[in-house]
Amino acid sequence: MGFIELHGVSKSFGKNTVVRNLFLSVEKGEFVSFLGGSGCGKTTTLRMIAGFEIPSSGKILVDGKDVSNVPPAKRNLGMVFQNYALFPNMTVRKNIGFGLKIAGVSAHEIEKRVDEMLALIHMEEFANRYPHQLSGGQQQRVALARAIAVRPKALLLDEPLSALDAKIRVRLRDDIRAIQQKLGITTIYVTHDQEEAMSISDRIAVMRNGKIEQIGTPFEIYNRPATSYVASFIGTLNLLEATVVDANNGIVSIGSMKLKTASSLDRMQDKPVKLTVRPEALSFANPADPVTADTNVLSGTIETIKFLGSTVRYVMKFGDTFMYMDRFNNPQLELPKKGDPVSVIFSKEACRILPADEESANSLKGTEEEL
Amino acid sequence: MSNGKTGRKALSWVWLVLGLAYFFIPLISTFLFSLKGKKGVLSFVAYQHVFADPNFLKTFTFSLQMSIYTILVGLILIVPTAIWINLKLPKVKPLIELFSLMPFVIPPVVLAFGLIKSYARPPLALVSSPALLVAGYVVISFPYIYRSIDTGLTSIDLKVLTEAAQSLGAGWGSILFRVILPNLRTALLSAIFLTFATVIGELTLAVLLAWPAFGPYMAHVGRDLAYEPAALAILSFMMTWGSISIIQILSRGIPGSRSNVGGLH
Amino acid sequence: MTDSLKKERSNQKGAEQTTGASGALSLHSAAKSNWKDWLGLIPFFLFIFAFMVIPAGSLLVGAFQNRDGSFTLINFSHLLKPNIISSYLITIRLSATTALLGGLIGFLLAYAITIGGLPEGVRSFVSTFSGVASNFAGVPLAFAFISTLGRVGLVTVILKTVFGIDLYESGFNLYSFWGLALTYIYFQIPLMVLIIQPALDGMKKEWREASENMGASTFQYWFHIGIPVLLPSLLAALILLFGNAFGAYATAFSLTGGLINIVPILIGAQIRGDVLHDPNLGYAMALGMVLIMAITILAYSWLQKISSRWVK
Repeated sequence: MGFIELHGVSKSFGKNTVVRNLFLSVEKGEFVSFLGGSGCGKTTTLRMIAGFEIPSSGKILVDGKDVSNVPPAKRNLGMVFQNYALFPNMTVRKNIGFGLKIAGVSAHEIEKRVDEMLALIHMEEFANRYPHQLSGGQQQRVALARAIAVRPKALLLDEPLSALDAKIRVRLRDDIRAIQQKLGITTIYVTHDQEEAMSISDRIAVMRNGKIEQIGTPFEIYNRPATSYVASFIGTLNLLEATVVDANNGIVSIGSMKLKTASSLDRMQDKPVKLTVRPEALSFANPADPVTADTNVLSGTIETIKFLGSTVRYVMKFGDTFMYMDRFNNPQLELPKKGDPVSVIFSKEACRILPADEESANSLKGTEEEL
Repeated sequence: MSNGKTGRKALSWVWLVLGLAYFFIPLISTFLFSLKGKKGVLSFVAYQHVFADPNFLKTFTFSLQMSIYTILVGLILIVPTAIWINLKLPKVKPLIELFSLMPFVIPPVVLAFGLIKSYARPPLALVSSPALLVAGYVVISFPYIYRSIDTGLTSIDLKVLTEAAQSLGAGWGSILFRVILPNLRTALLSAIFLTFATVIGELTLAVLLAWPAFGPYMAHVGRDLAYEPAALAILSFMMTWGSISIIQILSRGIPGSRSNVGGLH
Repeated sequence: MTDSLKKERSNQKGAEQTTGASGALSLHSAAKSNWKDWLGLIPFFLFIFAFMVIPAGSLLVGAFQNRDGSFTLINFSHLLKPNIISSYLITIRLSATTALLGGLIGFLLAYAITIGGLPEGVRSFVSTFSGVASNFAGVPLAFAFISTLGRVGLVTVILKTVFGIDLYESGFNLYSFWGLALTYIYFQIPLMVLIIQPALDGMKKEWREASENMGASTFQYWFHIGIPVLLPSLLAALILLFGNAFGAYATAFSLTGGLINIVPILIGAQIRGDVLHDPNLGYAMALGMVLIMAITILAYSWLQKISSRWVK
């Protein structure tokens, strides 16, 4: 039994259904991210847990109790908002102490707890500032301290970093994770940033059209995406249209190429599928290496080279098919030119076959825009 | 919490109904009252009487003239000044805003008093000239005109527009008439209709400076007749409604142009 | 007051643009501004001087003169006559009452159409209507209330015939303090709606959610956050409403014809030479009015400084 549980939760606004029959169980102390594009229902789900929206159907349990009809003020869940939502008329100290004051904690105790919180977010010297005197990152730290000062049962964060600069975003997300680990507080984190979700979460729930597409650890989600949507949403991916030619041996064809996969392709003979392989799984073929039954070798030409800093991305053309390969940068690297012949190798385990559902086909386009 | 939200919404409807009741009961009463000119039946006879009264047309024409003069003088005085300040002397803005406070600190009745005292005797015996009335009206409408224009000016990037025009070889004349003023159309029309709505039924200055304007005429009718004043009230409400609606329609969808249509009395 | 009004009314987008634009322009002018730039303002300042400064100054001078034009303080001692003091008190009471009641109703109405969650169409209707109603004052407004609450007014008649309540029997009179107050409130409500609406728009719904999230009730939200955040705007609005009623002449003149001795009516009487014609006393009264308004504004700016120390 999870600490926070959603049982068949749905939410409609008028005719518009944003969350559909959602099931989820979050363990005590766990950090779970809702990841998805805009309109996928992630924020609405979080707001239902917080109590700002009432589910159209289904139940929400916190710590074993059905809270579906409990007003937000009585749920004791800390919430951090995208736009910080600090009270402009209160100093940092007053903001952090607000929940305690409402709870009727003694002034002395509030003082003490606020000091602890200020130390936790390293903002002791800002205690008497007003929100407008702080940077966005500082405001969000205060908002975090304010949310956890009341020692809530769980912490809910709604895209807390999306209004901040890239650098501050990375630093603050590490801080959030560190504080979460230190307090062991159950946390649900909404974001549209896959890198953020992967770096911070114990588990990620990838959401789409009001449903959880896949839930798992970042490692699972990245390496074993359940759908091509998940595969393409997270990281860069080669997503290729393929046809099963030998179901028993896991062989598919892409154009005139035949590729070996480790997947079992029962009852898929001659069916269209999608083959995915991460760019970092590819490497240059060494003529000395023997071609084994477990490897795929492709020969083609270089299209372009994209220098990304720590990695170099090779865009290559095999027949009519484009593929990416990522290699670590090193100063001795000799970069090939457009049109140079190349030969790449990748293991059949690196290939993942996904059903060819046409809806998820926003993938290769998406990855190209990302470049 | 949706329970809270629903409660809040229900309460909002209550406030709305109360507020609208305060707005509309007097209007409905007045309208019904205006129809009772003929005993026993509802009729527009009161309106016929109003329109048939030669003084109605005379005073209305007079006030219309005064409002046109006020609009002309006000715009000629304030538009170039506002543009000049925005372009060259933005540090003067607080001072101008202080002046736009003045009609508030010096109510019309005090202004009328001061104008009479200052301009009753030679060398500047303006009190018998409608020019003094127009000057007073310009003072009263100054905040509205200035605010409309200033809002309009800040919503267009005046400096960039001016520099762009200059770089294309435009002189000050074409900058003003071909670049700035067309972009201020909405602000100008707001200022015009607001001034019109203020001046057309104005009573205080007209009555104290003793002019046969529409405001004093209405007050006079109110003293002698019963149903015609109600008809006049409805007519003048419709005129105000018309003016403000035009402003609202014009300024719809233009950023930063929340029209300043509130009136001081 | 008016500039605060302006600030209230220019929505946030507009305000940002304003600061952006004037910031850029001031850089621009700092480099180029010279004495010639001031020449462009001469016509405007001449007008201001002739029709604002001189009239006000002449009243100031006149207040310290007797009929022969020599210096005296006697006019101010006349101000202390019981009837004049009482007319100031009535005017202040009328202005304060209508500012508070009109302000309260206007605030609730503005709340309903902004954060109260009413449909957008309702909002734009009420906004437009407020623009109209706040300009609908003076003679026609007086007529409207006579048709409504006068002795044969529609509401008076309906209350009497349908509900058996005789307003005038029970002491109400449209031509009394409360009659005038009800009439003033008609233009105070929409003015409040117009002034306070942008401030209410600036209230983030997340503040409320954050406070609920931390266990606060609706009352606690308004007590700790809502009201304190709105206080500067509320003060500004109430002061504006106060002044709006304080200077009003036309409505009172055409409603009561001078039955209630509010200060503007008394001053008007001095000008028209109706009763006890004494222009110099009139000047002193006018000066008193200006002083009260000036004090109100000073008090306002002081209060606003205290209540908004957390504002940028």
